[in-house]
Amino acid sequence: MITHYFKNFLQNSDEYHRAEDYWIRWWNDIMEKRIYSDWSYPWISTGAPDLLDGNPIFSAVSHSKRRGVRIIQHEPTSNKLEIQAWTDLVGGKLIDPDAVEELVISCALSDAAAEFAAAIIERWVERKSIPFKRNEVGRIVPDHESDDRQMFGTWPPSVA
Amino acid sequence: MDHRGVIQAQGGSVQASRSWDQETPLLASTGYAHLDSLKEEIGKRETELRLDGFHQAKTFIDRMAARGGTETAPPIIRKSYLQPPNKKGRRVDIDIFKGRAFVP
Repeated sequence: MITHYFKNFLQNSDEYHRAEDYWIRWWNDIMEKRIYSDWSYPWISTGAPDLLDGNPIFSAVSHSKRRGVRIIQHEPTSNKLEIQAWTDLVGGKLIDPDAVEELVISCALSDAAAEFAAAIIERWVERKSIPFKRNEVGRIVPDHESDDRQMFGTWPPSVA
Repeated sequence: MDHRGVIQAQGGSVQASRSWDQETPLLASTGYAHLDSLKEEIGKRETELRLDGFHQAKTFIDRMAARGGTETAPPIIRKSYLQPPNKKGRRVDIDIFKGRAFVP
């Protein structure tokens, strides 16, 4: 059973800002477990302050690690987990000193999507590989049991 | 140059792009032309697999043109348009690294 949050965030600016706050708490919960003082947010603009399209709804960057994170939120189209992730390069080729490797996650915000995203982001910010496995219902999920470190903590953060 | 960016069709083994690096903000009309040019380059099938992405990219250009263009980058502006569920990550990206774009 998946619980979607802020389903109408594109129609309701108050709901949009609550979704933004959710992602900030989500990020801070990841960061407070470690010392990543050089990560900052926001990193990427939607194009205009009055453009509340969730694209992106959250972003962060570490210039020293040359890694970035971009979260795109869309409205749910089903009662299932909706999430896609890919990597990209920002600012040129990998050999360029200012280039940033970016992990992009596009999802409908839900408890499961936030948990999934947190699991892969935690690996990404540590510059670790992201292993996957199939769970008991055949869904592909991050394999957080592949090492002995607890990755999920108290996910997802509470909904305001 | 003061205004730099790129529009790309990505995923599904396709990577086509139209970039700009110029002294003046990119016109919205040039943005539309770049979208049309990308559709032509990737062909009918790959365009149809990105119809929502192209539509959303055009809508973004419409909205920015209606307000006089994007804000000035930096901060950089990155938009990725894909319609879930979308296999193989097919999408249309718009990146504005410096300056403004999609002015009327």
